[in-house]
Amino acid sequence: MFFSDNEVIQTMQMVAHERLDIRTVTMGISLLDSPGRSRRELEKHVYDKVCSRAGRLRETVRTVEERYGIPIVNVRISVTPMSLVCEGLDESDYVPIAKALDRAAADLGVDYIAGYSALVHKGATPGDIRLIQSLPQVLSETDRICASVNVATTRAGINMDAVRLMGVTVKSVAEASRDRQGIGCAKLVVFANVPEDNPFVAGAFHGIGEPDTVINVGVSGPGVVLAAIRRLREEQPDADCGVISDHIKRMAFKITRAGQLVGRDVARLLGPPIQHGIVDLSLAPTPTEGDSVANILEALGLEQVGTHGTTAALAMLVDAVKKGGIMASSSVGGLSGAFIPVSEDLGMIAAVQSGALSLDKLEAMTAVCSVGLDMVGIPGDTSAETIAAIIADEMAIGMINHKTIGVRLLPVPGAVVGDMVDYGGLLGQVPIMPVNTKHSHGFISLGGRIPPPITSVKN
Amino acid sequence: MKKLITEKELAAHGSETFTVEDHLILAPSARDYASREGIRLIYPQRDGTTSTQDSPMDQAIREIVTAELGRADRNVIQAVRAGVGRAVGDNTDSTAETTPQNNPESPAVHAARHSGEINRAVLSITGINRIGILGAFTGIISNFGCDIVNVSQTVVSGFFTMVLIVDLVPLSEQNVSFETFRENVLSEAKKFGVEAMLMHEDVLKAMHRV
Repeated sequence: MFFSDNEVIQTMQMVAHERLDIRTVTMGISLLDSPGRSRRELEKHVYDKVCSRAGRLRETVRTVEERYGIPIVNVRISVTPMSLVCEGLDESDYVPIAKALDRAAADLGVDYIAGYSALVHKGATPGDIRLIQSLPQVLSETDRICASVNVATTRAGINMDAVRLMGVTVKSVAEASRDRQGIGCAKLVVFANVPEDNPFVAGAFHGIGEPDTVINVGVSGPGVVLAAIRRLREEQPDADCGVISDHIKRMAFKITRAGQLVGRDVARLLGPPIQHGIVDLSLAPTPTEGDSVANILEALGLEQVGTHGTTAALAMLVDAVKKGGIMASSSVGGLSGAFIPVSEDLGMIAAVQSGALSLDKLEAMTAVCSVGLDMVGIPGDTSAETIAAIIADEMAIGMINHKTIGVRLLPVPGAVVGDMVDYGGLLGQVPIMPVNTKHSHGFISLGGRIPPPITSVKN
Repeated sequence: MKKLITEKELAAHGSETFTVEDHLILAPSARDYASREGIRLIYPQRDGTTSTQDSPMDQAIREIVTAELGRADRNVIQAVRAGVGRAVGDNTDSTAETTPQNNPESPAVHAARHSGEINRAVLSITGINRIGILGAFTGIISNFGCDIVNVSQTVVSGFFTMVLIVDLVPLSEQNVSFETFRENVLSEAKKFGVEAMLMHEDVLKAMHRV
């Protein structure tokens, strides 16, 4: 079987000039075999299990990268939500166990280990509360631990007590990592309808319905889609939304297939009990020229992202990406769609700076994107109640629309509207955006649970 | 009218070489079958010789030289091969290597080829055309003992682009890593000031074939 020159050249260009890459190969490891252990035993157990399963992970990923000639950017690990693993332990036990996980990741050369998580959408156990209370210390004293808390589902509704608690927690995490511009908050996501097989940190964890160890792959490629749309519009100036959407689908198909190839091969080389899990095709921008979701929306004819029409354009993009991915693989999972983080996308940063993109428009966009309010910088003096209220709005969008939604807010201590906070690397630069100055204290203090929508009763 | 040879008929033929006479035409599936099974195809009408000595490298040189100059007889091919041998510092008689007769398939290579395992890479070279560029790359590939199973060239936005499909089975047989092979190819590209990219065939198959 030979290929046409066009096919070869297109593929080579994707890798060389359009930043087609496998964004992450994430190994999900079950720690459900932990109960009944003392703190010391558990520290040893989580370290040993992670190291034994992922010992050859990096080396295997390098082999596959070399074999196929497609760059694999990150190697990561996710584990069973630690609230389940640690339930029954004392408050003082949580930090040492988190540190054992952090040490395992460091020794394996993995940049993030995710799954320091709790699922509290209908209510919290004492263990869940202890885990949430340990977040400020854990996220400021470790480098690699990523945490998430699911506070709402379409089936259960929104746990407003947990939302209020997370407002306070986000603030204290920022405070605890004040010396590093509140970087702890970049490792903490609040979710509605959290997926159990998401390979992308910070929101990844290894769900309880998963097998012992799986390899999940996150593929990206905003650059590929951007270049394809620009080429199409040059060659076919009269292409309408239907034609463009179809073109995006084709690109998404190709990218997903590359991801599936890599995932299968990594799992095959590692051998049982490690299985291939899912492929998550998400257009995840990086702070590099051309690797931007905002630029894709602008290539569709918007002067700048954030203006009227942005939500519709994003909806079309996300839908086409999902459809192309579904066609390419029968094990599509995770978040699959398009991410709209502010700090990791040069186009989004520019739109915030020019005033084209506001927090309100971002909120509207999260109703159709595949994640939510991601890496959004807000003033350091924003109150815990306002943070909780921003979270609550997002959770409502997720709950009503049966979609995953995440919130990763950065209330950078000491920062005011207009400041730029530089985290460096993949996290990029965060412009501080204004929040509504009218307070929401009364509503947030109501607590309780917002009941699930009528559409949740499907049985 | 020409007679079409299908994969079935080629399989029924059963020999290691197949002469594609003037009145025959090979179906694409038959051509794939031949490359998969290592059957050498001989085209007597193309160069007027019986060419039973044609190695894959000779075939590659013939295709390119024919495309560039309009003809390629045995003397021209020998000259190109000798030039390539000198360019890569190969002291052995360049005509003596890589022909299947002198370099019989080892059991491992044979097993890999005939088990249906296909391990091929696609090499694309893009840049300004320069004399000796193809010779240099084919020289490196043959130094590693690898076959070139297909070559094509095209011009993309003013740049000369060559696409070579290389059989990698001999690499694993010699315990040479793909990385070493890649480094050699890429450093050659640097010398010529062209862009070379090497990718496993499976990636293209996954992305472009349903």
